[in-house]
Amino acid sequence: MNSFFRQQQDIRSFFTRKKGSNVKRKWPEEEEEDDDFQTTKKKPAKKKSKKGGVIFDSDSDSDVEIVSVSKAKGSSKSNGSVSKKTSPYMSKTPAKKKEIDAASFFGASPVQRSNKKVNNGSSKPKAVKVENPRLEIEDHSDDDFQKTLEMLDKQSVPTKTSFASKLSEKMQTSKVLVPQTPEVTPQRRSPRKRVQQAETSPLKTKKTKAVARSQKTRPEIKKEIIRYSPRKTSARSTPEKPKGDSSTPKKANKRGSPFSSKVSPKSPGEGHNNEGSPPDTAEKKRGGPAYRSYLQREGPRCLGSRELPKGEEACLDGLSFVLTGVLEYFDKGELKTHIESLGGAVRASVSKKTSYLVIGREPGESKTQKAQEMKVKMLDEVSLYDLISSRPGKRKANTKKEPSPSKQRSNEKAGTTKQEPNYITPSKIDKGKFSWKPSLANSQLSDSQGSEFNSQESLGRQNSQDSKSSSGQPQASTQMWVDKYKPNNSKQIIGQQGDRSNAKKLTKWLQRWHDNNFGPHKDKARFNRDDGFTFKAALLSGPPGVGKTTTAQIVCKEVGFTYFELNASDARSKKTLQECVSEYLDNTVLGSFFSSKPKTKDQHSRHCLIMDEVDGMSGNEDRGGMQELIQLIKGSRVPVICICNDRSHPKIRSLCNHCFDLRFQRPRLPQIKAAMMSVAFKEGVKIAPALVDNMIMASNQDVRQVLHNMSMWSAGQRSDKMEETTQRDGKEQTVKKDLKMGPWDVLRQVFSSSEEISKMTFNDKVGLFFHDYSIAPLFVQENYPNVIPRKAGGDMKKHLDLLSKTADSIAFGDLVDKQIRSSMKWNLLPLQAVFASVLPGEYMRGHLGGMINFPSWLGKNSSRGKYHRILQELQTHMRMSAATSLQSINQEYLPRMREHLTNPLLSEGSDGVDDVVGVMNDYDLTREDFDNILELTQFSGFREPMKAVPPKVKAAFTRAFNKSSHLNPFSLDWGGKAKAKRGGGFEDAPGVEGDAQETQEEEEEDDEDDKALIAKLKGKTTSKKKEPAGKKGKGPAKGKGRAKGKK
Amino acid sequence: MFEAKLQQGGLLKKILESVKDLVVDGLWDCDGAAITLQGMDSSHVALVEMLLRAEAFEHYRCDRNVTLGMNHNHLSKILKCANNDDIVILKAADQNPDSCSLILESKNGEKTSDFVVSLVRIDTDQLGIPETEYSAHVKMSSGEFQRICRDLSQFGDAVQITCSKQDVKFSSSGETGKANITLTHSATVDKEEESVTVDLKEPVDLTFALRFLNLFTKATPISDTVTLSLSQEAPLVVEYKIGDSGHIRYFLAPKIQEDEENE
Repeated sequence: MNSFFRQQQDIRSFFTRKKGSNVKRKWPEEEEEDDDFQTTKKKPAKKKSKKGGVIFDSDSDSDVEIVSVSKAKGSSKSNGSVSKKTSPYMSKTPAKKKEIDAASFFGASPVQRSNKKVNNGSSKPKAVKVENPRLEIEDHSDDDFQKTLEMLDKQSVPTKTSFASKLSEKMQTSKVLVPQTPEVTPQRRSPRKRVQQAETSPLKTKKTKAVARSQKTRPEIKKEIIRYSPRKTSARSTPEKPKGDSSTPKKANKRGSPFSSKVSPKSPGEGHNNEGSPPDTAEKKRGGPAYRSYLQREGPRCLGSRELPKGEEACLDGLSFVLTGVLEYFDKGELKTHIESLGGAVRASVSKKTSYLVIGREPGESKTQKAQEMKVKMLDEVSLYDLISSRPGKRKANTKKEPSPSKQRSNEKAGTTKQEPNYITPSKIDKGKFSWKPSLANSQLSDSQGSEFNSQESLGRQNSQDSKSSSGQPQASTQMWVDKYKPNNSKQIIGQQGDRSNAKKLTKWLQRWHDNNFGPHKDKARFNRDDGFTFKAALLSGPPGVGKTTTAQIVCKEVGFTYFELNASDARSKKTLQECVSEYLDNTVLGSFFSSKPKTKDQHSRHCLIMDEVDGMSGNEDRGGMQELIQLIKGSRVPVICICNDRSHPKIRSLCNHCFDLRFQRPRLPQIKAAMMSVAFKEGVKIAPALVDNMIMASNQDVRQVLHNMSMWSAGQRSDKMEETTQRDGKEQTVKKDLKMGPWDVLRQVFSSSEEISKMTFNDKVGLFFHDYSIAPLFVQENYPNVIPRKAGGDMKKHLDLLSKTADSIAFGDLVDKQIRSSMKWNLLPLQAVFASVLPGEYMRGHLGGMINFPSWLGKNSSRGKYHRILQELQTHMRMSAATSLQSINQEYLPRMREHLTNPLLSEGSDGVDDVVGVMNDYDLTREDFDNILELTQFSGFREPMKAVPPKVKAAFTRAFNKSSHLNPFSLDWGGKAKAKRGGGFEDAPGVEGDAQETQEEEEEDDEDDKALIAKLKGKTTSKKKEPAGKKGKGPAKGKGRAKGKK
Repeated sequence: MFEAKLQQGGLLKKILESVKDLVVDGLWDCDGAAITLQGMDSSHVALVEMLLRAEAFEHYRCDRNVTLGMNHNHLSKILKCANNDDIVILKAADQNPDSCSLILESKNGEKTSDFVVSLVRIDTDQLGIPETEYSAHVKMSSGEFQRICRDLSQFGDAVQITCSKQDVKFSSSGETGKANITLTHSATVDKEEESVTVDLKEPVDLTFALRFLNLFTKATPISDTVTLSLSQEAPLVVEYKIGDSGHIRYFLAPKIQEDEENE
């Protein structure tokens, strides 16, 4: 056996494996790698105890790996390694037992002794080819990155599949089969270390490997033996570290980094136990069977049946312990921490200074031997617990921490951080290890280990700096990028650099404001310039995130104005504005008096008002605010800058008459991109330019949004593996700002033929419809004739053809709509989308001829209802004399009646009044019916007869009509107002009027709803109406008028 | 440990009344010698500064300088429960107190009320008020001043104060008309409180918003006399003395003058 091993070593020593592979890699793999690695292992890193058996590297790792391997049922090594690597938190619990069936254990391949040789052989070439490329990547000091790369390469290597074979390989190749755990530790790290060093001579490696293994037991005092928990492995890595602190970082993640063990080989200094010394080799080789049993031993048998022994503070001060064997009641790591928290020190190897050796089940031979040699007291587990509980406590000795390298575990004892930094720093610098974000709260110090998580170096670097500086502070306290990179002067505002930019204009306006408005030449100014200089207020409008508020604030600052800002968070009702703002606009401000610099007289009044988010002044809080603002602007002695998003909002329309209108456009992509790339650089984030492009487009050139996205992305990056980065890139493409488009914008997109729009997929186009699926078809129907289609190309016939097709499609859409609404078949909506929006868009794609009109169908529909009702009323009234259908009345009677009712008035004037009254009596018509008939029969283009009637005649007619009493064969209480007016003309006039008014009112109410945005006033009918309760008209003027009336 | 015992609780009540309308959250700075309060109104046009020296307190102990951010509304609610002759004791912890306790003891010692008010964190900067030489000082009865301000606010929203050698004129104009009130320098000093003293270096003519002056005059109960200090380029100072051991000063920035705008 020995000779065999020697042989192996020799072979391996011929290969210079540069990179340290990820030690955490799967156990079997590592075995091969490690061999190679060892070749490259540096001499200094004599300690590299990388032996063929990666096994030792981390007991836990191996154990877990075994488990995972078995889990994978002998899947390829690479798979195993991948899974191992990617699982963020490997279970800490020792040896999770998994079911393994014999087949998977032993595999299908024949058992051959020579297997391992083959393996080794095969690993060599692999190693070789993998190595070289790595060599070049040297500037990458990111070990994780390396690891990843290696892993990627590794994956291509075919591996044995059966668990048993792997085991056996390991066994065979392992040089030191000593159950001593210490040995295991270094191994893991070795690849790392090798990476760092990257240049060992093969021969040396050979040796070092051997040595390394033996080194395991080296009194790396710092070494910790932690079994069964992968994390702990990391702790072990410390030993070689010259600074001796590396262990600390590793330790940090007791619980945390799943990859701690992988990372362990971080510190360059950590001389992995690669150095070996011949004598040790021998020792280790001996451990064959013992090693096997070591590997296979169980975890604590009575885990959880006891609580951690409570001891007084610092009761174990000054004592050092070595743990060996399996503890029955606790996880070794737990116990270790506990001991440390009580002030004790847990070491990895026995020395004279060791106070106690704690022996569990199946203790390590060498430790017990040493203990006997050095006359160290041996305790068993229970005695240890007793000891803890019985010892008297002392003052906390925080300083304990320092000597114990493995105390990475930042104990609750504060101040560890302070002591630790010196540990961290060197390792960090050396390895460029990057600290992980403080999500692992305990492990602020665990930077080097934290870096396991990093695949991106640059990110990590930044983080480590941060965490270093803010030792103990969660890095989450850093500012948001939008605040950090807020522009401080106008040069930094994106998109406002040009001479004709809004920022410049605003600056000029502000500078000249006093002169223009109050100076001696103010009148002149008005004539000279049209560019807004005559206005007392400025209105900045534009999409969100383009820099309006920022521009306003910076311009004020630069021109030397102090400002008072009111935004959507403040109540800005009429009253509050009067209280707060009106004084402000007339007064000087105290700040100017009390500042240090002496100011001249005119400078005292250098202040202005910024009303931000002025389109948000609505609702109860801000009632009357807009009007008050306009009044204030009129009388203000101070510039007012208003900022809004939606310039075309009705409220803003009235405001902008008094304001210098500055419209902000979205910054262009190159502008934003340049700024974002520089931000990325400052943050140390590597983002592909294409990705930045995507982000910018996805957010619709909203700078704030882009910054947020970038910071989110980079935060996410820091926890991602390299492989996932590419996936993320892809994902970014799908990050789009979901904009809620108004129907006008939707329509523009439906019919627009611009570049971007034409790239929309079918689904996107259907999606347009769904922005508002009720009104979209109406908009399309209203506006499609105005569109000049590209396809027509000027050809009238083609144009008509397209129009016809579109009309057909819209008609189909309407049919579908009917089905949907009447039978509730909502799943037909996409079908309607296609007919009503997508197809018309396709046919008529081009450019819009004029303004986009609001669908008039809605108004017409409500009118139809109204007329129908009126007609019914007329029919009822006329029933005694004309008992016909509605259509007949409408088409036959009414036109004639119109003539009969109006012609006498027109031709005979006052004399004709009697005739008219007679006609009305014949048909039992009321006064409103008269008007209604005229309205119903009024078609556009026809003259209105009553217009031509002189008012005198009208008055006479009214008088005459009212004088005569009318006995109506019908009741007049139509719409549910309970007044039953029977016959009697006595109160008819007012009563009838009243009723009719009321009924008309209700009709009006319906109408108002439908005529929402149409500000047409329908003549007489609207004039009489009372404000329907609670209705805030949507038409601006109408709405306002109504509201006032109501109040 | 900060502890201050004030014999007349009424004084604190009055002080608070005069401050709370102007400043909602005030920073009360307590150091070994005095309690100071400084605050600006929301539109940064008016500033109030209050100083109450330790002598005013029967017992004053301040180990370390503390700054108590108090919401004046809350404080005034508490003080409403106090009678004018109650003894008021203020207490606060030294290190970053987050609440301050007030104890009201009735004069005869039979009733004791105990309140704890949470402090607020206020992030405003304090303004440094320079010592300025004012061109004109006018001293008059505080009640008189209050009446003048009230009367003039019927007519307009701003008062123009013109100081000349012998008299001081307050004018206001508005839709309804104009109003002028002139006070002449008292030749004889019958009663200190009723006299009007005009001390002039240069004539001054400034306009101020009456709304703020009316708020300032809420401090009238504190003192019988009020001193106005004016200077052409400086804000108006309205000062009420608190006994011998303190004062409340209000600063008000003048309105922008029409003719000043030829700049």
